[in-house]
Amino acid sequence: MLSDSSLRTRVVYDIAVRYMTPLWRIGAAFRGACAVGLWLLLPWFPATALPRAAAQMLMVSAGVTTAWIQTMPSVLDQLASGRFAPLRKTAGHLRGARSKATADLSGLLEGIGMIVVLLLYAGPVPVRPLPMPVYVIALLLITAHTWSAQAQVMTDASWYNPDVPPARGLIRFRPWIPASVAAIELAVILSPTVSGLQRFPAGLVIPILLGGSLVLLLPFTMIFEVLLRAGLEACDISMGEVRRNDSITVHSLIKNGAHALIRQVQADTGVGEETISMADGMLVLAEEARQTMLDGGPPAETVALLWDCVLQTVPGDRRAGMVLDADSRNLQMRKTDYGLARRVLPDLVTNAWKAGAQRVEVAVRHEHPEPGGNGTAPRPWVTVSVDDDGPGIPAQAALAGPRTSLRILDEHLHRYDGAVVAERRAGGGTRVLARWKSAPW
Amino acid sequence: MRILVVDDFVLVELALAQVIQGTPHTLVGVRDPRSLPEALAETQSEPFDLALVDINFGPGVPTGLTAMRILQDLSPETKIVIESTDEERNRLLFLLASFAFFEPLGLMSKASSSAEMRTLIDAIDRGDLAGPGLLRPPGTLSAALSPVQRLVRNVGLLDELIRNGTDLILWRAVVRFDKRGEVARASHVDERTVDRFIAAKSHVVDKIQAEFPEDASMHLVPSYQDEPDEQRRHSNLVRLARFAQTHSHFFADEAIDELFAARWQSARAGGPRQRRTWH
Repeated sequence: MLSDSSLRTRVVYDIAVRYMTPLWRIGAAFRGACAVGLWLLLPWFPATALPRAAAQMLMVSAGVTTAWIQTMPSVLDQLASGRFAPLRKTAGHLRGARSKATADLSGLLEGIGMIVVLLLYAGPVPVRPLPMPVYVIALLLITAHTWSAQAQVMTDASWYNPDVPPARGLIRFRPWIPASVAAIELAVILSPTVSGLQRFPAGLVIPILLGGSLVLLLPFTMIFEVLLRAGLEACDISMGEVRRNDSITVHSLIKNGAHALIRQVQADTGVGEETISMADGMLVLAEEARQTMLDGGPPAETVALLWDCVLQTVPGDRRAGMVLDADSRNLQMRKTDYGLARRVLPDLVTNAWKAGAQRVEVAVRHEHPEPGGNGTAPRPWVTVSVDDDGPGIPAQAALAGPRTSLRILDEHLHRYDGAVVAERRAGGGTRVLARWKSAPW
Repeated sequence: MRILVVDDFVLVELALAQVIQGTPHTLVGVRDPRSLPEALAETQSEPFDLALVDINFGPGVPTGLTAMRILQDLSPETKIVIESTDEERNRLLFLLASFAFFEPLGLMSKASSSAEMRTLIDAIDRGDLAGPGLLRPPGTLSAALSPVQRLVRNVGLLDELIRNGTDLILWRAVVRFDKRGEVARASHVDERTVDRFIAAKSHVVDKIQAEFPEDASMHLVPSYQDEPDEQRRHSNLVRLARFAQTHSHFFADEAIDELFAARWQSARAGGPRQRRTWH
């Protein structure tokens, strides 16, 4: 689960970067408190062991202090602009390392330092004698510190960076981090002591349970990722809601405007057929814009999509009679062909229902000619046929005028070696065929 | 003149075909910049004299910068005119980049009338670059600069906006984050670098605002000068974030990585800049 790349998305990474700042600060404060607690246990140490105990506490103390400074940009700024070159260098390192999946100074000091502290209570040469509560409290503090540090490691934002994913080896090692840390702590606890020294005043159950508890970091991280996944899903659902609302708003605005425009151009007798067609085309574009917003990107340019959009130009009570051939629905078109079909189809369908047709049958096909002599496949033809049961038109009459809509379409399709042909159907009605050579680009 | 239209909207090509109807000009349309190499290869024997290039081809498709780069590489003799919609709020940086990295002859608004489009095409055919929407040759600048001349004069602002790879990474982070620490973390830099970035880029955004006051994106971005240091820094970061979000399409365009990298490499090598500079 922890090597699952599905969480390596922009949204999850953005969430992770945002939670890191407060969590790092809380974590550094918590581990600082653990270190203070360990210092407070020293008065119970034998006087002869105090110098050694204090010395062994220094590294982890430096580590938690550094981690705390790391969360304070203003302190880092002061250090970086200070007089002492080593401090300036350290501040520079802490700043640079903060945002990378790398072992930085504070991490190393804390990690190694806590093992050194553990060696005061367990390991081959522990300090003895110590009161039993001191052992238990010390082990609790050490485990709590390790939990905090490793939880930070396991939930670091760099695991979710989609642009710079962590190294594969690190990803594979991630599920084994808790077990490895637990193994180190248990190895120190269970390591043989120098002969004659009491191994552990409270017995082995408590230290083994505490050390073993570090393995629970694995389910902890899994639960954490379940929450991240839930956040991602909630974000997707919210995005969908926003898209739906926006698409309704934009669609409604454009559609109302387009209807007003269509009414105006239809009422104006001086307006040409091309203008009327383009006004009708606004409804198709409005529907496409709606679908694009809903999908969060341009939908696949299939005939089915185009047909759904074209139906928007037809009055609701006439749509039942408009039928797209089933084989045409999933035909995927090249962008130019789709654009041409988007220009052609609304005109042909509108002409049909305006001429009184009750049923309009539409089919779109790719026709592949035989390969030429040089073996190369010629470009396919795109054919859009619109059959209706209307009163029928005199053959080629619609193409006879200088600026009829079919004539204009015919001119457009000439650019692609195409044409529009209108003919009477044998059983009544009209068939209009628009055909062009599929555009390669 | 052989004209190439690089635009995802076939109606633009059909409209232009009507504009040049009755002239000896011919027109070929390409819907996607990725199809350009194939289109140019097929027409190699008869190269295009003029390419009208759109800027925005929709989500997930390379932009006009890629189209211009391909044209520059594969058909350097083809003159370029950028076509764009006036209403596009995020186009300013694309236009600056177009004039910074390439040598377009001018800018054609999609809102232009057929007569204006025809005038522009005819002017290019005659080699007359003094028409509306076109560059004037050096030395003939009038007191009132045309939009194209203003873009050309200010291409340096783009270099100030993106001086190096870190700037580019920071701009991309600022699109998504508006807190200093988060920007630093997401960009893998320290906060001081973010501070320097905020200070330097706020200054550049001010300049852009002064040079292009009519640009719609700039109206959303007030300048912050009279606040205490920390607050001003945060306010200016928020301001930069809004600017970056408006132009997020530009900052996300993979073409700019390549174009800027080549520019910086050329500058390091002491080579000539990629385009002319004139004042």
